Amino acid sequence: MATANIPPAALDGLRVLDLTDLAGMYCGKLLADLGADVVLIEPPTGAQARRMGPYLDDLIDPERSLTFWYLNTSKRGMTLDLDQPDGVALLGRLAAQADVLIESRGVGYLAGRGLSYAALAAANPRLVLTSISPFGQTGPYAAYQGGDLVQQALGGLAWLTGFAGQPPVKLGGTQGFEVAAQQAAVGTLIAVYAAETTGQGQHVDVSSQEAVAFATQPAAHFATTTGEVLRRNGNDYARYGVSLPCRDGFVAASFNRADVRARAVEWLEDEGQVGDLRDPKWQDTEATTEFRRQILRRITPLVAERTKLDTAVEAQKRKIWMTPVNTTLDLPNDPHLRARNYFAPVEHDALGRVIEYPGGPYQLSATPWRIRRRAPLLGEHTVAVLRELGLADAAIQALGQAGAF
Amino acid sequence: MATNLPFEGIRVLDFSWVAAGPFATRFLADFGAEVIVVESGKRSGGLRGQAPMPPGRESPNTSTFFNSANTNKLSITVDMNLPRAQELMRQLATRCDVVVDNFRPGIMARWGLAYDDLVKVKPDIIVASMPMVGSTGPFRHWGGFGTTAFSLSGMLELTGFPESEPLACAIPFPDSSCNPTHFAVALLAALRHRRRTGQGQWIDASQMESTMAAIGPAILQALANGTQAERTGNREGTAAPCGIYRCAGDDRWCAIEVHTTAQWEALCEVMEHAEWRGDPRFRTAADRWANRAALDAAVEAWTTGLDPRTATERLQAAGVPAGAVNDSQDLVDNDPQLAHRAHFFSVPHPEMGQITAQNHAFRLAATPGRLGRAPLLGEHNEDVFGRLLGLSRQEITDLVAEGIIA
Repeated sequence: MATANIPPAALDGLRVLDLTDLAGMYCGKLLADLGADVVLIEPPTGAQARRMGPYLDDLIDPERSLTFWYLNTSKRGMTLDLDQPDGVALLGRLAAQADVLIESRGVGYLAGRGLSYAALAAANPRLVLTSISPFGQTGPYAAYQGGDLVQQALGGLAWLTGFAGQPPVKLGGTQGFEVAAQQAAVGTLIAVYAAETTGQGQHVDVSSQEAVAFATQPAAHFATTTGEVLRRNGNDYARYGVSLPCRDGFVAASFNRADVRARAVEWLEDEGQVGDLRDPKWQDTEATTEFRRQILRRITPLVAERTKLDTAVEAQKRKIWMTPVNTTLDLPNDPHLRARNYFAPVEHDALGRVIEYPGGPYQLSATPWRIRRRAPLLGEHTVAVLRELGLADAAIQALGQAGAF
Repeated sequence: MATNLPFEGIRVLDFSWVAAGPFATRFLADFGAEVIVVESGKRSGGLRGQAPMPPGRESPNTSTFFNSANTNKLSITVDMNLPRAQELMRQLATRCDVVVDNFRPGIMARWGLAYDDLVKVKPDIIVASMPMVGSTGPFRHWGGFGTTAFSLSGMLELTGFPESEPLACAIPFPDSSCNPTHFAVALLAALRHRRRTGQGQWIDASQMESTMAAIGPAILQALANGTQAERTGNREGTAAPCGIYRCAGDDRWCAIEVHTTAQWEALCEVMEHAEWRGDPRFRTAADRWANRAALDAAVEAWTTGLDPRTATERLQAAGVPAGAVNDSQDLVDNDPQLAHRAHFFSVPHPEMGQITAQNHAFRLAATPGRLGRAPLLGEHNEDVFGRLLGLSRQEITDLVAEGIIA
């Protein structure tokens, strides 16, 4: 409910069950931070994400995983044992009252427990069931095991990073999971929009491999158009730019546009380093590759003496596109992010601490992105959620003793 | 009644001109929104000038990048330097539900097309911008290129092997992943709110911040612990073996990641090294992690003799997560799963005959959306100016003659 103090949320009133783990939890976070009531359902032993570091103060503890914390902000949490008939029955009852069920338990997992899309829809035609799997619900790889690295490999992304001739390397973090979770959120919200206008839910089948392949489009375009295979080439990713070493790290730069090259030459002139780059011969389009190389050769020593931030500020003043290669430790002190009030303080009541979190990926003026609460403790809201189903405390207690959660 | 196109009746005025913006509005267009791309017929640049184009057929209509990012949209061309063109776009905006741009901050305001301008004439308008680092803050005027958001976000610094420098990717990764997806989530959420309450709003999506969201745990580590996440190459936590291993052939590789005892035992069996299970170096997960260098060498001795597809199929048949490192040509030609999902699809195109584009990662069973082509440059001038602004054919001809439609 919106009150005088709390603005409305874009996803107010949307009830979501989240049966994912590392491979999809970010999808539910996107919905929860926009106001959906997302209930994370974990096995009684806890999600795998709780056993994934880093941990707060490096103390290994399933209640201190920063990975779990980040992926589950604004959610409530409960446990259900879906290897027990009582647990499955409770999930069925919850799904009958939900708008969305997101799952990444594997192809056939829900159907094997009598909770196929058809069964769920029979009880609740409005339900949107979003299944995030490594390769999709059908096809020759449907039964294959996935993983972040495997998906970055089969999706064509790992190929594109690394030194020529050396092993490919995946992108930092777990992008094989994140791109799928992001696409799952888009697909889910399209289906929600349809369900809220027509009353008809549907099954949303998300393939993580396909999400990665979609993300490699700028390379795939060459394959479909000219047959050229783009290759990794260290930090001279010539079509898009180059990383240059500074005193304290790197800047990313690009001299692929003629106007940027012209401004770079002006900068070199101001620094007394222009050499022969004013020579009209460099304006010949045949000479562009060598011109770019010469600019790089002269700019490299110029930026090597400066910090990456000073370099970027000076270059940007001149409309030359350079930006610092920020470390994650640079970000908490980034003057731009601070000026935007980007970071989000989150109260961790059990620890008596307020911890700053990464802020929103977007700002919505009327329905602000907001972390509603810290990630749930294991089973924190099990009883509350079951009470909302109309179960009496005695019945809840009996189910707990029987091992349903 | 279910419709194939949930956003039928939603109209978007789309000024976004480089990759991340068009990919975001494509999500709406493919599911029924009428997305009108506002272009310049004069100014080159943007995706229409972007490589690759089929050799010998270079034209504003043959960029694969443009054609992939703009499926099912309409195209109009105006010279936004002219006040009359700006006025026409303001009129058109009042007939739209959403206005989108990814210019640097200030340009839409100069044209009278900022949220503050439009909300006065269209109170429920949604205006969404995705500048490189957001619309506010001291660096708001910073420009960039494909790798900018990747570098600013911290993701570039996290990519690569611990013993070498941070590595960028050969493509502008955020442009076709976390930026358009996050932007689309914001647009979809705002559309839902508008449908339920009648309230529009302004969206500011910083490409830097959307990319940071994709490495949240590492940034939370910096904030909470004050420590830098390490570059860990191809490691996944403390799983071992876990990596990308050389296979037979030129520059061919296979990813393998083993997380459980069952997967480890299956791997030993597939590789015909049952004795590894009893080897004290590899007995527990902790042992395997401690002796990962020896383990990696042993695994690579097996993969080196096989092509990556064979290695993948043998390992997966036994339940071991594994996957060939596909290059782009493999994605197009050699991946049976992507072929099964028809990830690459072809549609007719007036200038090219056929064009190939890539599908999203989701399939919606009841409202599958539509596969279509991108518009030719200015293809819908007559339609949009006539149908939506009520201009006569003569008036449109005059606007063309005056260089306003251009």
